[in-house]
Amino acid sequence: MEWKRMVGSRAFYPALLLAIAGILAGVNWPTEHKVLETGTFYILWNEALTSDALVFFLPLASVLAYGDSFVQDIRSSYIRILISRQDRKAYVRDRMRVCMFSGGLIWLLAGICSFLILFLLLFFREGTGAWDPKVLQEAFWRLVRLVLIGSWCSAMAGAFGAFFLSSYMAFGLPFLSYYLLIILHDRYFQGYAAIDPVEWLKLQKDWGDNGIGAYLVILALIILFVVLGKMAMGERLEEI
Amino acid sequence: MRNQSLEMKTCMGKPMIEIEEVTKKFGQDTVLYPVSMTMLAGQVYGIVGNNGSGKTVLMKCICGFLPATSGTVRAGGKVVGKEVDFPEDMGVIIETPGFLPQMSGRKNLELLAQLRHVIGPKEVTRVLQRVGLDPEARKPVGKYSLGMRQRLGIAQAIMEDPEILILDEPFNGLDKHGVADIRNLLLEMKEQGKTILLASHNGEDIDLLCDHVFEMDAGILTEIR
Repeated sequence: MEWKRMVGSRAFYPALLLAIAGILAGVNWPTEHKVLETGTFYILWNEALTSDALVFFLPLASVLAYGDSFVQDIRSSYIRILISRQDRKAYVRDRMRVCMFSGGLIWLLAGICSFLILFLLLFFREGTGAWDPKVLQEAFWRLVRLVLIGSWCSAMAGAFGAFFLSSYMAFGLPFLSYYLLIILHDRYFQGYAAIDPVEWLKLQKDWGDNGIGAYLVILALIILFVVLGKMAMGERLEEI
Repeated sequence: MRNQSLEMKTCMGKPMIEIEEVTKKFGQDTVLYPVSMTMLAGQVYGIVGNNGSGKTVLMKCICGFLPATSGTVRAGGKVVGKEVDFPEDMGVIIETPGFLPQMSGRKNLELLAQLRHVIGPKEVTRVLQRVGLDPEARKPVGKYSLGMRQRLGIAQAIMEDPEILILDEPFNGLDKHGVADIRNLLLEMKEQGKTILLASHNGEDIDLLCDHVFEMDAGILTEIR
């Protein structure tokens, strides 16, 4: 039910469009009218997955789809209709889970759509030759990290929304937290890559085999905000 | 059919909801003084009272939406808030119900039906027709009038055919025809042996529908009929 509700919500498609625009805005489009090298479309896609434009759009698109759904349920009294059909624990579990996945789903779909768009626009201008699986592999793992960071942002939105019972906080605080971490890293803690969301995406420092450290950091943050969100929602649902 | 009516008769008189010394305080303010009542199967109970007298708070305590400060509510033998989060087999409409504004009434009910998996699209169609809404209408709930929203609220409360109905001001926002439709619907449900708790400002509705009438005044519940 939650998934259908999210996909049917007004904000889902604008969020998806924003995410696609974020990826495409980072593409270094070829300007010359000549035959392109083989694999240009996925090479450009791979580069776009860590572009500055995407870094800017990431927290925005992640929270839009479902970040304030809990706040809306409470404000519209819809919560009473839901709680009369499922107990509070089940509601909180489902809500937080879908809230968390919403940000990741937006970026997963945006990644797939932008890949297809680049394929359609560039593939037929490419010359024949061998594909480089390494680039595709790298792009795949970048997309995985993008999905995880998107999930972290939307989990923050769910937690902040429940804590402050405000859509503004649900949308605004993840964005502020994300940039606060970037600013802290860039200005004061340059040696601490673990606090930099851009570094989680780009993996320029040493994060261990296959960047495992970055995945663990993001997963730990997701779990932290899911737990905080569940606690805040549970508190809010005591009296409805 | 015979078995069904026999079953209904044997259920009649069985306590469906038992409220024992329930009180509710918000900070220092007491909004419910010790309330005790037993609601029997197949009976319709009405509560009248001014705005802010505590009717809705009592109904919320019965549903488990608000925890009682003291006392217990048992529904179907289980303590609400301890043994069950929300009473099983209960349909509720409290205050103006909220729905997903971008979806049609039908889509809203279908989504809700998926939470319990008790009914399907056919039953959703039937219940929409029963409350006087067009099952095929695509109009989003956000564009519904207050009366249509109220009808949809009643539809969601009765769609899974619950044994107990808690209805807080179900006639709110309904026009003459709407009131008549919903009255007939409630009379039908009464005949089917449902247990109904109804709060209404309108004495006529209460007189017509209820077997027992209570008055709530400043948090004190008194049986008047």
